[in-house]
Amino acid sequence: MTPERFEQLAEAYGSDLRRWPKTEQAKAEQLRQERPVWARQCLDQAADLDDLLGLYRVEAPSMALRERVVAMAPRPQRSLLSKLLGEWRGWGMGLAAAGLAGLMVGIGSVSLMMADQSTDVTVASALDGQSVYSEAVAFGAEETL
Amino acid sequence: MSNRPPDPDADLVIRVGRGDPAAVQALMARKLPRMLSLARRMLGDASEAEDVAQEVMVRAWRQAPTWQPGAARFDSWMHRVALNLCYDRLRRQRERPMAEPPDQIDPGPAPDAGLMGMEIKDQVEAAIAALPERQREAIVLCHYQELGNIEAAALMEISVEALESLLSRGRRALRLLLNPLNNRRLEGLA
Repeated sequence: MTPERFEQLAEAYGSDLRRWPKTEQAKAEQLRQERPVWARQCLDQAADLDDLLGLYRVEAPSMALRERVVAMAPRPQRSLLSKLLGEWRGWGMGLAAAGLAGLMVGIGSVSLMMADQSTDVTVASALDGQSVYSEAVAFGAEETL
Repeated sequence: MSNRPPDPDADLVIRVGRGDPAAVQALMARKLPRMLSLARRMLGDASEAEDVAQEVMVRAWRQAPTWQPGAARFDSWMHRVALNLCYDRLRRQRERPMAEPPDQIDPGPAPDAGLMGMEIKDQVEAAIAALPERQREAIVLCHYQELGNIEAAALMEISVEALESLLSRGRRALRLLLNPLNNRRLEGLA
């Protein structure tokens, strides 16, 4: 490796040779050992900037962010048995709901029928009363006449 | 047979795909801070960075059940998603119409002059934000995310030589912006 290339790499990747291209690290290390004073000066300049860049730290993710992210994560996959049980539970709920709905319809129908019957009786009574009244009026009229 | 080293996240991603809660926690602990840091330094805004990091993780959850190890490293894929989201936001910021276009050049101090009154870490943050986007991306990927040059160049869809050029120019610009600061810091240490 040439000294120029060493400088280029320090300029681009900074003072830590572990950040340099893997294919050039061994040759760079060899040059550093051959010319330690020069290499130290070269790397120190890059290290100053590295130290400053290290001051820019980002806060850890907030609890709220972590909770939002976890809430959207995949759920555990269910086994075939639990899936079937789940489906049976679904069907059971459906059947129960259907049964309940049928019961409600049945009760409603009976109530309506009973209501109809009592209405019929009332109407019939009313009609009967009306006819009695009519007959009475007619009778009275006949008497009056 | 591929010479590529195995993906260190592969097993975890497969378990996440099966809905393993421990794997979900482990992958989040490993990747969420990393994605948040990337977005924070690319966008310079904590709130937008949270949105991006969350979106990357949600996409990772969706990707996990169908993830095929061997195609690309999961971490690289996440970086690609995060960078795309960051660039979408940076583009929208640029396209956002200004309330009042400036009639004349701002007579105020130059951006670097404003750095002097800030805390050191804020000055570094402002200097990175002032870099051209591609130089900033190169420095964020190589220095902060610690990606190798080949991986970073592939993510940026440029050659390794072009990446090195961006890194060198970026670091030179930062040195110029932060030089007085560095001198003061060294004086303080002496």
